Amino acid sequence: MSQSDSPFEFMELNQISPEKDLEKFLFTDNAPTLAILDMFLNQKLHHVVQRSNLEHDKEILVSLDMDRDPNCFFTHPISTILRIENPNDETEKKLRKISFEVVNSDDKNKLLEDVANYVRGLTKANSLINEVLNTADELYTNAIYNAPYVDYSNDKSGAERDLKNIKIVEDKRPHVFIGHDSDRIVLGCSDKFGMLNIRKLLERVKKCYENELSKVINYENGGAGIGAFMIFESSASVYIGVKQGIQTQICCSFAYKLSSVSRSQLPKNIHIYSG
Amino acid sequence: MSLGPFKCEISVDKSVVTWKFSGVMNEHMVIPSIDKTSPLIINLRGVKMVNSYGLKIWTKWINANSDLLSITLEECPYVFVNNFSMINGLVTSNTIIKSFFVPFFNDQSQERRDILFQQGTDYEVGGFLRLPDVKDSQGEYMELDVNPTRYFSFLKRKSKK
Repeated sequence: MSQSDSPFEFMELNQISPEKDLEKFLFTDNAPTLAILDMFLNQKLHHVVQRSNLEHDKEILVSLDMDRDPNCFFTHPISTILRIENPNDETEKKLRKISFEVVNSDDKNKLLEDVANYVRGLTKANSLINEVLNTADELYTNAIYNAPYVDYSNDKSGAERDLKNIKIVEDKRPHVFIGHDSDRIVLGCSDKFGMLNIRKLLERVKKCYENELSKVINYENGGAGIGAFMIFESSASVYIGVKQGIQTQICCSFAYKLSSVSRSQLPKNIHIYSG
Repeated sequence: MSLGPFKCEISVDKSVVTWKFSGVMNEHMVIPSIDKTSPLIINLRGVKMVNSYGLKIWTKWINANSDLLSITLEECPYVFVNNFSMINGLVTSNTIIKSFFVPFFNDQSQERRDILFQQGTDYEVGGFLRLPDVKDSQGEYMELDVNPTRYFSFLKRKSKK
């Protein structure tokens, strides 16, 4: 689809990234999530930033950072996303309020309690607390049940959901982290397997938007198949980075100062990197 | 809020079986088996969180029991009702939603109140919805902490009364 065929408004991008790969970026507004997913799957799109979402300018910077210097996102995710100052070890350390290394397979409850207490320190809105908690749960579940047990085709959904099937490898422990600025909470999870197939993930999420969810749920062995959709639905922006065979990192931001209605109406930003 | 493990407390009064769920509905939850000739009441007040696998287990269970005399859900918390708008299969035609919580919030005071809506008084599935004026401890009006279009969408569906 050319720019002139697009139903959405395009910004003048050549001022920002004149040299290359303009088809990777879409700066627009009020584009529905399903339409965006369709464009990710059928075009070369890697970044969608929507004007009505929060921190438009910083989100454009994240797009450029993830594209030009993806290691910046992998090593300093919170400071890359929040962009209060330049991302580096120091700013990352300052912003990272919880840094949770998963040591045992049954650490989830401890993690969720920590996340709940942290978010409750920022807002008492139950809807927001629940959105962040659910996302933390899904990211954790994916990191321990799926990441170590799938191949890059992602045709199967990992280990059966029973803790006795799970072994956390010492040098490949997943890591969950969280931080915030004055408007946004950033929650992320990183694993050392790098086996997430982003295309498959986006296809699954798209299927959830297109169909009645009870028909999409996987009733056989493995995950429910709607976790990624729940992450997308809860978040204002989603950032997915995969260094194949090395690392997968998914981050989500939440607009914690907005009401539940306003949050549900935010058009989503999506950023991906795959290398 | 303690995110304890899923528990189901069972009590029987005459021929009515009541289950009280609490904790987190997730991959570790086990729903007991049920005699299909008895009406069943499930009180969900103690449920603190529901993840995607919990939804899978619930959807599978409730659809396998769509021939049960009736399943009455009472005191459904926000974390459960919030999924109604996403997943049609969470309730079946033999399910009665007797009461559910609606969260209200005041951003200024950061106060939160969960108001219990009762079938017949505050709403009727396929019928009406009456939203009350809710005030915080300082007498200030509180806002709905949900998107009403989504949260109450299940009330538009047909259900057994």
